[in-house]
Amino acid sequence: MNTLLLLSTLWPLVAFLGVVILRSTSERWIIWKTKVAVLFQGAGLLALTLGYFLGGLQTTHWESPAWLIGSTEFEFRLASTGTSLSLAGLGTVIFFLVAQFSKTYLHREQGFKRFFATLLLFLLSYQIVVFADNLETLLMGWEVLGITSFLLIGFFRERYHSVKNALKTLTYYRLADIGLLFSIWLLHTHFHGENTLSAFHHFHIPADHMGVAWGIGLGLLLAAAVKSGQFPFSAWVPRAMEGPSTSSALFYGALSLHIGAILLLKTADLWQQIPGLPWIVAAMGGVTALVGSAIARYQSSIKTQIAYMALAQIGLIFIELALGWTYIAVFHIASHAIFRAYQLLVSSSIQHYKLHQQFFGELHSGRSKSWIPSRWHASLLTLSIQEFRLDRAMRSLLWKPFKAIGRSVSFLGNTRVVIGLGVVGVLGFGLEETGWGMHKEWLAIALSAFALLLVLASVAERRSVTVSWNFVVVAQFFILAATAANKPLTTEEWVIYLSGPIVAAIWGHTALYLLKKEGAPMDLKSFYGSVHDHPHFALGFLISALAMGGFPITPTFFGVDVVLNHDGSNQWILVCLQLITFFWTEVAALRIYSRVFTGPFYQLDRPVSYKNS
Amino acid sequence: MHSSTFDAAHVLHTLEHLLPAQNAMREFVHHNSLHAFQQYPFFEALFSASETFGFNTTLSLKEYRALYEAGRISTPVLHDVLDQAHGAENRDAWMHKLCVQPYSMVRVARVGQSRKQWLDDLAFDLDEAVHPRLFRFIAAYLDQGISQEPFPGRAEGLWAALKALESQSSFSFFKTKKAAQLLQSEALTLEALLHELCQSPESYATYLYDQQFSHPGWSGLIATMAKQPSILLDARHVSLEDLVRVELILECDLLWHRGKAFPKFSALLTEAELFAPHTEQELYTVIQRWQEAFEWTYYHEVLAGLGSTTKAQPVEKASFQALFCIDDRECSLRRHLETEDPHCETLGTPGFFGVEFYYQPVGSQELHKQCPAPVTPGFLIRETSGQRKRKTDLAHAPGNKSLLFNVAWTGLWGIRIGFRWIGDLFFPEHRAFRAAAGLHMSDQPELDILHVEGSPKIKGLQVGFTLEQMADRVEGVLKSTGLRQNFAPLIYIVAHGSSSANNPYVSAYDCGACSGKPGSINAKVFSFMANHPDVRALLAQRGLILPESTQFVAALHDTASDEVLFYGTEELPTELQLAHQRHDLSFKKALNWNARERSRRFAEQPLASTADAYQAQVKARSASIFEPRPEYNHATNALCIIGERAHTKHLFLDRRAFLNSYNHTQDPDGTLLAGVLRPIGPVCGGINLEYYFSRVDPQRLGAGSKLPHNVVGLLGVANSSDGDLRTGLPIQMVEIHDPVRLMLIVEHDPAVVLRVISAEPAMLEWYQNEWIHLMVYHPVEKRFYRFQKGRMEPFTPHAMKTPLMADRSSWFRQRSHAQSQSVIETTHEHLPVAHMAPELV
Repeated sequence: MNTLLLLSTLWPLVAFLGVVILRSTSERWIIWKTKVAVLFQGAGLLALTLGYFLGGLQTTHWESPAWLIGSTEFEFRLASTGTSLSLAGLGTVIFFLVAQFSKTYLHREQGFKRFFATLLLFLLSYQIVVFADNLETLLMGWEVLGITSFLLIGFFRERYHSVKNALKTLTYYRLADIGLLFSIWLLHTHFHGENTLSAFHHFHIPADHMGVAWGIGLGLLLAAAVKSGQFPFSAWVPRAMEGPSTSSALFYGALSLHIGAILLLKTADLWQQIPGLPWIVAAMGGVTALVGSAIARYQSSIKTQIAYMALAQIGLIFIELALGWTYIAVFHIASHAIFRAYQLLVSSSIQHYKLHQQFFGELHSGRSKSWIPSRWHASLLTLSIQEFRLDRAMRSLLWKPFKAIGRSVSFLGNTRVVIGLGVVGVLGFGLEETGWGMHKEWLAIALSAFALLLVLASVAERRSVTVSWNFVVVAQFFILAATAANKPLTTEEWVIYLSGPIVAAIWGHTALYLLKKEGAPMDLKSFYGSVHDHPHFALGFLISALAMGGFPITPTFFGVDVVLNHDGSNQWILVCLQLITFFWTEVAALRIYSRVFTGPFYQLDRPVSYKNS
Repeated sequence: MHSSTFDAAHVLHTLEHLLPAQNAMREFVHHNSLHAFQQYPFFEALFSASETFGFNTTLSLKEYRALYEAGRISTPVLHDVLDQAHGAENRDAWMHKLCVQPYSMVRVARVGQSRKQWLDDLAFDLDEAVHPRLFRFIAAYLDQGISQEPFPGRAEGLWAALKALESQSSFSFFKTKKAAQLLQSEALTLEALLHELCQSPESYATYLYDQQFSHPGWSGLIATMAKQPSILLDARHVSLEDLVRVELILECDLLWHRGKAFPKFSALLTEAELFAPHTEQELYTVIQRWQEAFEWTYYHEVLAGLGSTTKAQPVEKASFQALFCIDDRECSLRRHLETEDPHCETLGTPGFFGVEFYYQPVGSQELHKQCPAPVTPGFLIRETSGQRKRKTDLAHAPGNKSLLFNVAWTGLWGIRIGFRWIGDLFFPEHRAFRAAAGLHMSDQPELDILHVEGSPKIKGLQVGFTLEQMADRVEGVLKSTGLRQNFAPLIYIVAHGSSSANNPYVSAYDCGACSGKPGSINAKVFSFMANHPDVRALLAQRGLILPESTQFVAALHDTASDEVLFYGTEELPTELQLAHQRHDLSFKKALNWNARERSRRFAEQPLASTADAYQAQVKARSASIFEPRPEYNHATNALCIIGERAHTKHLFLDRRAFLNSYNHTQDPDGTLLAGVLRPIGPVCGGINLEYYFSRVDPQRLGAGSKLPHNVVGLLGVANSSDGDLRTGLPIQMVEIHDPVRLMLIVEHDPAVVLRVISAEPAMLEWYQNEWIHLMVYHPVEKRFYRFQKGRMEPFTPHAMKTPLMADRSSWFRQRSHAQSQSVIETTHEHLPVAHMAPELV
């Protein structure tokens, strides 16, 4: 039974590898593989559900063998509770319907194989999140889900808005990742790594740990709120409608948008214990419901209207979760997901339908006869056109200040200087091992801050791609140096953390070098679209960028946890610096990928889209 | 401040001329995407447009060479083209240039160049900051029904609306107070605003061109709507000048917000330089030769086929006659119908059947225009009864209600929608949100067609036609198509329309001659007129004697689902009803074959086993929400033949020809020909060129892929929440289209044709500048004449063997295997021009 659970969860991976590794681009074969994947998964889920009911509502657990890295123990856990079985079933069913729809819809589209491969990866990550029984497993699925969003929003790689909004959405998602990482760290340091979700049921937070519990709760809430587009993180949702309607439906109508609510659902036993936190959840949900539906009423394009209506509904789901109405919440999620996905898929039909209705009915049919004064109307309209200025706020509070900091150290942007710094960073380990002088904690903070500065410099860098990439690489050494300064690292821990960045650095540099030889532009002032002529370099660099950011394809995924767990329970500043650095590392790496390889082709020797089309 | 060098009116006028002329999608009218360049010869226009705007106006050199390798461009034709242009002695040199020599060609669009430089200098992405707000504001102002709150106030124009909004709202639309104050100042001219942004008045014109062409979709819509505002059901006042002013003040606002002084715009190119003719490049000549060779490979095939085909015997006692639209999709149905019933006669005429009017369906306050776009009708046809049930759709209904209603709705119906979704995927059927051609008019409509003496005008239109007016129209159509005698007992007037689900381009699939609507109402009106005894009496006085036994029956062909709906057959006398049953059977069989022929192109459809299965598949296709290609519409169009059907009856043209019936013997001096030729340029040329340009530049002249399209304000589609409106046709409509120009073949004396086209400069322009190729077939000499350089030159097509189509099923068995959208793959399944075996005619 527990192996069945593991297989059911991981089956889409097999299909994904099948689609990706086998060279064939024949549409029929790709569809066939996808359908077989769904069929097997469905069968597995049915078996699990039967087992669940026959066993008297008994949850099946699966645990991986524990892996000890240094002083941190890693273990993957899956559990098939009632809610996770229903959500997994929902996911499989909606996935199947969307895949069937896409079979014809994406016919002859250039990225057909890419689309289905990414879709399978999404299904895998969704199942992992739904069945995850501890936060590390959940984080793995969570990160992969974020990347599949990035890839599918940017599906039309030759369009500027597509790739720009993909990067913007990724920035928001990374914020969610950081929230989760923060919670994981807190659980590790203050609750001895006790983060098995199904065990939270029996877990009582001692009163003196309430402060920490608040931190955990807020971290989880941040992750959930960002991923579900709750106020004030709503601005990315309408901008995510760049991909084909089917992926928009699957992600932002159905599954991906609800994943925040699903996270809260799974961790409900923990955060519902914290007095006051459910109020905050409910308040956030309530505000989103009101603001979201207000904005939706004034939207003039159908997909953005549906996007706001969807996140407004999820606000109500948050309220239900805050009230502890679990079953209602699950039903609401399922029903809403199916409805929105279908609505997005048939959104184009509104052109004919509405005009037809207006032709025969009253004009402004369904439009409200205003009972609110026109001043309110005008104000709401202005605010809704500006989407309550949320995007602007996020840019001013998040993006701009950090970028400004990065620009201030851009003087370091000289390849030789950067490499020199790298050497210093490496030497840093050695020096720390010998316990040189300064107060350890302050040294660690200084080195961490420096790592952050380097990453920010990478984000702000416009002139040279290699310098920007080097900044990111060198920053990883400084992160490790900081960790080593704090507490000595074992060799295993070093290797685990650096495996990603080193491989990424080499592979990434190779890809960039080969691209440079082909004569493609190599700065970061604009999007250059080199993927069209050199798709293999692009894929290579994409994988490097992901590996750099701690994506679960290299052991660095664990390395991030290792680094965090090295921080003492009261080293708040250090943890914050590290989290912010992790946030910007992935953004910086993928920014380089986006600018160099995607976007409208830089030369007009073929049809090239307008920047705003 | 005010400069004599800047003429705002002139710049705005030029902008209106150059911007895309696409109006709201309610009535999609195909037109030449480069209509502004029509006064130049074709290739000159292509290369100039390319250099001015950066459009990709031809296939690439690589694609031409690949087509040549694949045999799609024939070597003798290529040699011919080169010899004619450069002389036979230079042939080898030019062959080398065309086939081997590498050229690198990177376009630099002149329009937009200065702006790009300016934005680089500013180190600030002004466009990205301004466009989203601008587009959302315009969309909110113009919104026709997606937003659930109507735009507050009824301001006249965008500028007034912005002022009203700003004064009423507690939140400012602007980031700086300075801009908000500037907005309220009286009579703010364009020059005043431009002064804030540009260094000197010499740069004003270039600034405006660069600015407006960075979003041609919205600007084009506003410019076109300003000229035809009646297209909006919810009327709005718009003008291009207002749009420019709003955009300028938004730009000022954002630049002032940055706080620091900014370098002002300085034009790198003057207006004259922007629109200068294209530079001389050898690559252009090479591309031109390739394109000509590509086109002529096909044309020679057609002309050889036409020249060698046997003229069909005239049908003595026709079992029935059927008048179809000239649409290229009807070309195949006519062919199948003639095979199923060798005694029938089919004719072609523009699908509005000569009757121009506004149509008011029962229960509506709004009017449908049912005639070609340039015509403004003065008549109104009202439907007085025939209730049509309007169903609301589950998926679209909840949008207009409150949040709580929404909760209840999605909560309750979510699972039900899931079941419906499954149904839609595996058993597609008609739903309330599907556009169905048959719903345009009730099945048994009661119409006010005959004008009652003294009845008042409604909305300034005369209700119904008088007998005289009716007789004029019927006479016009019958005489122009050459149907003046030997009338069959039943004459079908077959209009066409299309059905599809989830398709914002639905209007583009309907009859273009009816302004993008099904022509069923026109067929019904025409039949009524032609059946009316008093009208027949008038016609008899004019020499057109319609026997009493002849009845006209209106019909509608749904080109997507391949079904035909007949109207009013119960009112026929008994013996005609029996005859109709037989003809209905012929129609059904013909439609089956038509469905089969069309299925050849639908790659992802499985091979069907029975004839009815093809029909069912095609019908399901027209109701599928997941099908972005419900039918291929005018894709592959390449010919327009004006002459007797007898010449084309034995020729297989693979649905690529517009066929207009015309009998030159009845019109020796060409008076009727002028009327027939007049719409060919705008209608057929417009269709052909729209397909051409959307095919060669899907990103800028076409609408890109349909998949990410987002309907905006019920006016058009954009690609995201922040994108510009897309103009032109999406890739899914044009992917199988060969980018070749239309060849018009007229059967008449070349001298007469020359006289007719020279009489109207607007008409002559099309042929003189070679936007449409004109070929004339001399019926007496039995040879072709090509219109070139203002003269009719004798022309002999290359001798080539035209294959014989012996049986239909083997020819239509080829399935489309094209996996990509590259022109080589998608177009290699065109069938050659063929003679039809005698059993098939």
